Amino acid sequence: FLFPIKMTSPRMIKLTSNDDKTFEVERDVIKQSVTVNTLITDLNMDDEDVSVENQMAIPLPNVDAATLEMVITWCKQHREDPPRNEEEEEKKEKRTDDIPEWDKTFLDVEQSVLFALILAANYMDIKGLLDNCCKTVANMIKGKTPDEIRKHFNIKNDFTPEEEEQIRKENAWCED
Amino acid sequence: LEELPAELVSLVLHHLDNRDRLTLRMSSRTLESAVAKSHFRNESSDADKCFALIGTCFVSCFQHCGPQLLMSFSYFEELRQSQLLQFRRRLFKTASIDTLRISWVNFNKVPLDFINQLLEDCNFRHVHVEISQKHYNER
Repeated sequence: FLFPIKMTSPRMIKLTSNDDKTFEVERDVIKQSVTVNTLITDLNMDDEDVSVENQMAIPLPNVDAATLEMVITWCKQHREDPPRNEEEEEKKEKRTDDIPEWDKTFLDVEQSVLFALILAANYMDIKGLLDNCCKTVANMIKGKTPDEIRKHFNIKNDFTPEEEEQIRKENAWCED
Repeated sequence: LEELPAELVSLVLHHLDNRDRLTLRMSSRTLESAVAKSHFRNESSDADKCFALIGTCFVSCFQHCGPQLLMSFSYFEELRQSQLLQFRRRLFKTASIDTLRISWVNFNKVPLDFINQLLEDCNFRHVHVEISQKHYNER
């Protein structure tokens, strides 16, 4: 016996990066972005009668295509994650050794890419991605001396020798 | 890192302990400013100068309560323990610390051996122990 089964394709949303590349992404995937989610709701874009072809693309003027592609990849990977409870997150012990393995590999990128992801995650309001990006940067900073931090992040020491000496004096008992 | 807005640097600071925040502050003027804008820096510059931040342990020299070593174990890593032990002599000599104040949120995580070693090495005159009622009851 053959029973007619209604196959419903997932609802798709169009996003456009600041360099005019358009991405189609499942509604369920991009719901992790509070910014996009709010726009979809406010613009009544959940109307199933509107096909994706006729649908307006959501512009993301602060995110380039390469970064947006990465953001979408991250959201796909985390689509099954339970919704974050920010109050609980605040109460949690602060640690940076709990980044999931997949994220560790995913975020093992050049610093410029990681910082672009931080900016995009902040703009798109994707707390989980933002959190793991910030933890990754924190791990790069931990245990380093100021000189090592400067070298790692290519930072120019713009303190005057007097200022640096003053800071060193203030923090003398902190140094080995 | 310097190109990130201060509020995003602040999110990174959130995941650092006090000593790493202090080190970051010493890296450049921009980062010093970013840390200064964050809520992690004490608002009073005088009080700020009196802080020596050592991981999650820090020495405060507030006039009203005198020098004391404050230890919180909510986020206390082994690395920090060894660092603190390494320069404890200098630390206690410089700051004339006579009070150890210990607080924690999770009793099971308190490194008792480390505390014992610290107590044996340093001549604290006062030791204050704070534990939340919730965790005391659990214990």
